[in-house]
Amino acid sequence: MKIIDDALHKLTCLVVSASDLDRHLLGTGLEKLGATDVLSCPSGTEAFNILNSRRQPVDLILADIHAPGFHGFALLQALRVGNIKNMRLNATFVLTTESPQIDHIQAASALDANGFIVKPVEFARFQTAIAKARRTVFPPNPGRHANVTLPAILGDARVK
Amino acid sequence: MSNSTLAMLGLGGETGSAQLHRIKLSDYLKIEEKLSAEQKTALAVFLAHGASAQDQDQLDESGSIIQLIIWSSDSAAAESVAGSAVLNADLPRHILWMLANDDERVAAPVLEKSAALTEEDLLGIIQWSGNPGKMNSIARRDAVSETVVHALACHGDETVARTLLENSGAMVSADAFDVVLDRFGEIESIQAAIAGREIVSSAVAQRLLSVITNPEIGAVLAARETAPPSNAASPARFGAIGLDFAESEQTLDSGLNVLVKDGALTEPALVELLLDGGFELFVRAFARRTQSDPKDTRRRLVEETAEFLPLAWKTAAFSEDWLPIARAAMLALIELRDATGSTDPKLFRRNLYALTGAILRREGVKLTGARLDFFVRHKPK
Repeated sequence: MKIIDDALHKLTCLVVSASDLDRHLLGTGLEKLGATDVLSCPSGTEAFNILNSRRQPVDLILADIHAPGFHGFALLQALRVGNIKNMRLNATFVLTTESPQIDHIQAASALDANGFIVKPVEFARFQTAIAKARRTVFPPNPGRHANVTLPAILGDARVK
Repeated sequence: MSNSTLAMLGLGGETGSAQLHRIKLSDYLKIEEKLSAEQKTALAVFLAHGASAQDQDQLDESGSIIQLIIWSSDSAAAESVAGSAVLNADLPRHILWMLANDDERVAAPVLEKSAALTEEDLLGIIQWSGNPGKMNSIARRDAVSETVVHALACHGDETVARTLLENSGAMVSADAFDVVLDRFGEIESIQAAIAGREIVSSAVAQRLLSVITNPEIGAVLAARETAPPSNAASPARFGAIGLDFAESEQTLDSGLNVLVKDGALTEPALVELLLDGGFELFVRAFARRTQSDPKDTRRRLVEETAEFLPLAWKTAAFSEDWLPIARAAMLALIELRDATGSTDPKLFRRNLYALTGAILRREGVKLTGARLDFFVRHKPK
């Protein structure tokens, strides 16, 4: 069922989360908002590869901050500094988590995250958060974003 | 925040408000699900209002809660938070940055009034938003630098250009006038706005005269006394600082006598002289207070401001509390010395005030108590 006509009409979205249930719920939510093409994957590494290999850019990315391999913050930073080809540096990016910490919120702000969703989230709130993310457009600033220190995330494969 | 909302948060009673000021992110997350959108907005507004009374740890907690609420709010709620956030200079900058990049209605008060946004921030929004409404809000700021004015002239529409021209706090350079005339020179309201500027160089006036079709605007332009082009040689201004360079020695001496007679060789009185652009009288008053040679005092203030002013301030037995504002005003005066070519006292004082404020912010100086009251009171009308 499509609740909101054309809110995300003809847009391609990518959901990144290790949880099958989250991918299903968030993906279904995006479809209810009108997204016609919803991709999903369980890890940041796969997301990075998907985004890098697509001809058509993804319009909205929804990534769990604890996504394995290449966590949500690392993926967002890679996007903002221009390490993902074929994607706009200021593409809409929403982080999700079940347990936000102050340093998570500060890093998300510093990286100009368009949204930050605390799970579980009911559909009405999800809809408002996505609308908020879509109406916020930041100017690209790769120099500033490259200097943002990412919070330590448990299980981050990039951390040696 | 209303008592009913406090009660809803489980914080009713006399101590509710104080408790709420100390709310932690973890507390908020426990009750978040139970709060309506209106209550969340009220909480964000409440925390934004109280930010100045919080220490850094609590600011981090409150800032995170406000940020989470903004991320989950609709446009109307974000607008309420923006109206409140812009009034508090102590809020984390990232909150104002987020609001400034929200839709036009939310961003408007922040873009127009927030001192937390840097020139780089404003330029980014002008160049990337492509939103004339946002640009118009920036054009209405109390002080708009030459760089920002130029960007607005290049990217904005006719309304933005007119707002800029009608804003006496906008520093419109000869280049920016050229851009506006290139893009909108045929439009009568733009012609009238240029003719109505307090300062227009003769080159701009000449160019405007060549395009105007309305004789009334032509008459306004012909009747006004145009300022010389900013790059013209102006021997009268050579070495001048501030607005009192044209005063005679006799006038300055008599001004000093009045200050001495009134017992006004005090910190606020001297800082007031600086903010009024009265540099030469300041030099005389300061030299009298430090019992030094005025010529030597003047030279060292200009050439060695950073080193000399604190030493002389100590010699004058002045309170250190006033030194940062005196130093910022002095640096602003020196910076403005040859920057504008303007002979208009009102515009000069506005620019001086804006630049002094910018230097204080840049150096992380927080004015409090009497110094803050003094600075706010001295904002030029």
